[in-house]
Amino acid sequence: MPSMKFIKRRITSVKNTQQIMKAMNMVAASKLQKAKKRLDTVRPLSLESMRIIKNASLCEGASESVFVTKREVKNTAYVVISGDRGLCGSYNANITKEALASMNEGKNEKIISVGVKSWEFFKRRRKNVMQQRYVGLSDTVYYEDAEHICNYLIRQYIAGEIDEAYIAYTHFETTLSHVPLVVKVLPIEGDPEQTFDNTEFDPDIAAFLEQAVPACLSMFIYGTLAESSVCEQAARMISMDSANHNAEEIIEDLTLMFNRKRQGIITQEINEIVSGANALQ
Amino acid sequence: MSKFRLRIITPDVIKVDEEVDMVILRSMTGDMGILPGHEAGSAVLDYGVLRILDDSGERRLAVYGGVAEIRNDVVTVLTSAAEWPDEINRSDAEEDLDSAKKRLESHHDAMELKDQVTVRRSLVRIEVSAYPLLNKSSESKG
Repeated sequence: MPSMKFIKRRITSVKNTQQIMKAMNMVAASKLQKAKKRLDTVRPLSLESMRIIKNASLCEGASESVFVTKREVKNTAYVVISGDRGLCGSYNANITKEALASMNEGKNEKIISVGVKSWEFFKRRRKNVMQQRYVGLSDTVYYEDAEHICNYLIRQYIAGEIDEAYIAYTHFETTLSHVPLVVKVLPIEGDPEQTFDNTEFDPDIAAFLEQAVPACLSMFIYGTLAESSVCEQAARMISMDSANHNAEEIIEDLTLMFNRKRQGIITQEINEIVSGANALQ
Repeated sequence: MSKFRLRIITPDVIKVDEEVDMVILRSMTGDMGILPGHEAGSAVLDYGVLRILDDSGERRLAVYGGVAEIRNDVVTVLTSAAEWPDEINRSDAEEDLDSAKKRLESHHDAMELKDQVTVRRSLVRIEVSAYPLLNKSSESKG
């Protein structure tokens, strides 16, 4: 059995760790509230923008646009959105795994990592990670960053460097449920089941797609960044909460052990005194 | 008079979501007026003034590019930024315009496109800021 001094030291150390977890939990909770609020406005924008270009891609004459035409796939771009830091449960692992599973279909992929964790993950697996990478977007998402990612994708796509583009992000359902998703964004594929009536385009369908795709795509990317950021904070909050509970359990066990040990020492001392007195008689 | 729903969404905020009588957009090919019952369609927007007409009169909003969609009497405008007149600092806009114009004259090629965008944006801002939201005060009186 460990000494009393040792147990005491362990209790203090666990208590200190628990304090850090409590603080991280509170920080994540307040960041989650902020991120959730942003998501409320971003989500309609992101969904609407994708719907508009998807609908347009089904219209007559759209198939000639560079963004709609399907090419023979040689290179596939993956934008993998993860967090910059750990201590958020399985959030980073889930999304990188999901992206990896989609990549393992034998594609020639180019990875654009958003967040340090996805960069590290794919670097370790000797994947083709592009020089272009983004960090620091998990806490504060700016629209300009989404625009930047989108412009990069579109430049590469038009230049023929990539023939397909996917975005891997985590979709926020509730605080407890996050779904890692891999979504195809280029070329644009409409949902053929959706029917809609005669739509006119100003100036015409080709010019509309040329202008609207970059604008709508950056809004969609902004949406995915916002979703991922909410998920990261939620995941961090939950994992810190459970870490806090675990710490409490450990402290309880250690305190019990400490008390038993003390009781044991007292009993032993009494025994010694009694047996010493008996020996003198 | 029948109305239709207008939604103007920017990345940061849902700017407008209300029933209006008429809206005039600045599309790439010119101004486009939309009344209730308009044919379904989509348009690319230019930098320009968006005019909203409803019971309380006319309001103007600066819109910097984006996409508009008309469907089933719902007009959705998606744009990277939109500003009400009272959100625009006119002297700042004028300053931006002057400095961008000066830079364009001195030909810094790498920055040229950016400066041209600044000039266009500043012109729109200055125009919109000339139409403050008068109806706000009349609403409070009424």
